[in-house]
Amino acid sequence: MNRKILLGLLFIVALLLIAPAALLAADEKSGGGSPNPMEWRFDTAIWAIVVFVLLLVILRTSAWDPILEGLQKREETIRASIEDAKKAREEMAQMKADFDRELAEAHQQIPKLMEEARKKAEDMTNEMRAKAAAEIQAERERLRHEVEIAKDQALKEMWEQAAHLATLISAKAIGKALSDEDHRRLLDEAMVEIRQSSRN
Amino acid sequence: MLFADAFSHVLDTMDWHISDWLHWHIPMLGSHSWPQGKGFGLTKYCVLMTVAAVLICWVYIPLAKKIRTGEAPTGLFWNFFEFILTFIRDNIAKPYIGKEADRYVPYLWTVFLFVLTCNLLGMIPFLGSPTASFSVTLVLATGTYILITVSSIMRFGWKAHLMSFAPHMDMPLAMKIPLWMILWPIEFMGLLLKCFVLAVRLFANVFAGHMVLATILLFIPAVKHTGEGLFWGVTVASVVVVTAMSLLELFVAFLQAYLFTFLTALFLGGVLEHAEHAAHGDHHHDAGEEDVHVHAEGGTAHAHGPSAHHHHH
Repeated sequence: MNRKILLGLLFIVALLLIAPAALLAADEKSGGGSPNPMEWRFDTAIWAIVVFVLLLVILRTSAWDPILEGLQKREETIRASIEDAKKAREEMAQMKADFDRELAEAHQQIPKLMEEARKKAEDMTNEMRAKAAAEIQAERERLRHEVEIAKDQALKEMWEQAAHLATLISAKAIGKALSDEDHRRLLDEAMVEIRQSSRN
Repeated sequence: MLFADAFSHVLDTMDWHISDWLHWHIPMLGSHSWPQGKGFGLTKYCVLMTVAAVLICWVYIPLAKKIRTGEAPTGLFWNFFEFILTFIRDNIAKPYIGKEADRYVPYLWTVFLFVLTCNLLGMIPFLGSPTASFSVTLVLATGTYILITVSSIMRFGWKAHLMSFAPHMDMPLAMKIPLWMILWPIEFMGLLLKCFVLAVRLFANVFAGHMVLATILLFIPAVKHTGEGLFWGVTVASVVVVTAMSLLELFVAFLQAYLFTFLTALFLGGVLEHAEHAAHGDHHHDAGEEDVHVHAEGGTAHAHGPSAHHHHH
């Protein structure tokens, strides 16, 4: 950048801008008398340049640069916060979706589990019932068997007793007329008869 | 007599006239006769501009310390002053200058606050608005012109800056050159004129407002000797009207500061955009991209053809 040419141009520009005002001031002078609101005062203009340029330079270094830095930082922070919030929201949504899916799966599994449990309980009941019935049956069988044995025993004893008694009675009645052999034969015949009659 | 009186209160003088028995003659720095026979030295407005500059520094340098870390300011006072800055940055600079707006924001902030403070100083009794002086507003408008020109040249170079005043036309070169010979000076002077009008607008609005206020108030001393009834009637009416007008002036003070800043950003954005087009058009042509573009668009090749020549010259 050719700074000399730039400065030269700016000087021409300043002249172009100031020229009309200077012309107006000259007009006012020739007109005299009434004050001109557009009067050109070099002292005020020069002071304005000095004050404005100083203000620009002082504020630039001690106010505007730090403020711009602060505003840019704030914008960055806000942008980052919004991005973080968005990311967090997406994560939350993802987690919620996962959770919902798992919950739905669990919900679907509940009837199955219940059914399984019910079936197991039923099986168990049936099994227990069958077992109990079998045990009762076995007990009954055993009892009947015992009763049978006891009955047979009693009958046997009774027959022996009856035979003995019959022997005694017949011995008494017939005396010693009959031999033991006869005795035995008669007894056996009687026993068969009695047994037959008792069976009928 | 009445208007002359009003003028003496509104105009920039070295005699700070508060009342007939209280006025401060600001000490002279230079000659009484140079350069226009009006004297040369500190005037009322010089003092007031300094006051404005000190007030702005007094508010914004502490504010800068508070918010440089990126923290938001606390309290109504600091928030209000920060709001002014963010308003200018977000609603004026960014939409109208576009990219790299932050580069020009410091100038816009300074100009807005300086104009606003100068305008508002005139609302305080016995002070005045330095912006009611054409000398002050012309200096500010020249600052705007220099900002626009220097920014454009620094960013896009001499050639692009000068080309930014040549309007874009889709027509053969033979027709374009004579048109440019007419339009280029108009466009170039146009920017100068726009800046000059910027100065006139600000000065005229502030000056006229203060003139109206001063004139209405000066009706009161004008009817001083005409009798009780008229005097009180005029006094009450004047005070009521001046109060209402002052509220309007308060609005105008903000409006004109906003307009000055807004138009500065608008002109700057316009020149930068044209200069960028001019600069990039050249680059495109050098790289041969313009030709590819023309062929790629097929049917519209004729409409784009001449513009390629435009950049070449």
